[in-house]
Amino acid sequence: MKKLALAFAGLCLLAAGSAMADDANVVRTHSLEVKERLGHLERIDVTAEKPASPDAEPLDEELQAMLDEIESVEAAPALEAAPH
Amino acid sequence: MGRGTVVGAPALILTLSLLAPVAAEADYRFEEGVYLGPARLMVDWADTMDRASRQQPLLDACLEQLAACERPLRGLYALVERARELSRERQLYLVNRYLNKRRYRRDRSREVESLLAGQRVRLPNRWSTLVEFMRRGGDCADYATSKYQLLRALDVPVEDLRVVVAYDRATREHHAVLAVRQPDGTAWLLDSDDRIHRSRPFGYRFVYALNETSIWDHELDAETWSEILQREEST
Repeated sequence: MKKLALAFAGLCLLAAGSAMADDANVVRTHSLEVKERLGHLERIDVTAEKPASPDAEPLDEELQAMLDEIESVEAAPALEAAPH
Repeated sequence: MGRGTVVGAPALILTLSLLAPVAAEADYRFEEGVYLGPARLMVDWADTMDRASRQQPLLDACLEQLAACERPLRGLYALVERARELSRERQLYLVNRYLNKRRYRRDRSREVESLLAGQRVRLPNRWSTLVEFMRRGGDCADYATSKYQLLRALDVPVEDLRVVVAYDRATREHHAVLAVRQPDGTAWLLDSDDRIHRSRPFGYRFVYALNETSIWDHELDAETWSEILQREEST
């Protein structure tokens, strides 16, 4: 574990060093930085699955009644579901 | 453009990501994200916004009249009709709980033409519209996007809404929530596990945020970007 941490720290230093060394002889534009950053963000996999939490606040009676009513509209046969 | 540019930019970003995550550790604040550019730069998100615009007449017709709704959308009619009478705060509870009941479904990666890369790239996400999500369910990004669209239908202003992507240390994966700015300036985060967070959830690190107009970065703070710009101007 210690070796892994050391290796990671070394990698970070290498990356920092590389970036600093490049600064001396590279013309970098703001648009390039943004492009690199957006390209990185675009490739992030955002697919987490979160089951209902027991810590979630329960709905009060009025909201729960609305939710039940909405679900009954969904479940009812077509057109007969019209509430008015 | 020299070879060093190609190597240097990702290395610089990696370094800054490691050194400057402080802003991402505070509560979510709309004013703290660094503006990265217009939403169209993120091709998959822009494509979703385009599809949402094309589907808007279908959605509008359904919200106007129940008989015009295809079956998966009928709950939206009932919800919007009832939620219009509610305060903003109560709308959030109802919308969050209702959409969280939809079926979870994981995305498949696919190839798209990227404006950024100028070539076809394989992207892990497909952001669904509200209509698509109601028809077939989706993953956390789709829950957040659908809440965004449904709250827009309830007249919540675009500047008060953002889909926020965070890294969840507990599950070691990225997760999307919807941030809604409250009148007192704080943000409520609508989560797909039914919770509504009023402060940063334990273990969440904010990465970036989107709405229909813009993209913001929450990992690289304004000071870091300012340093980058100053260095570039001096070269």
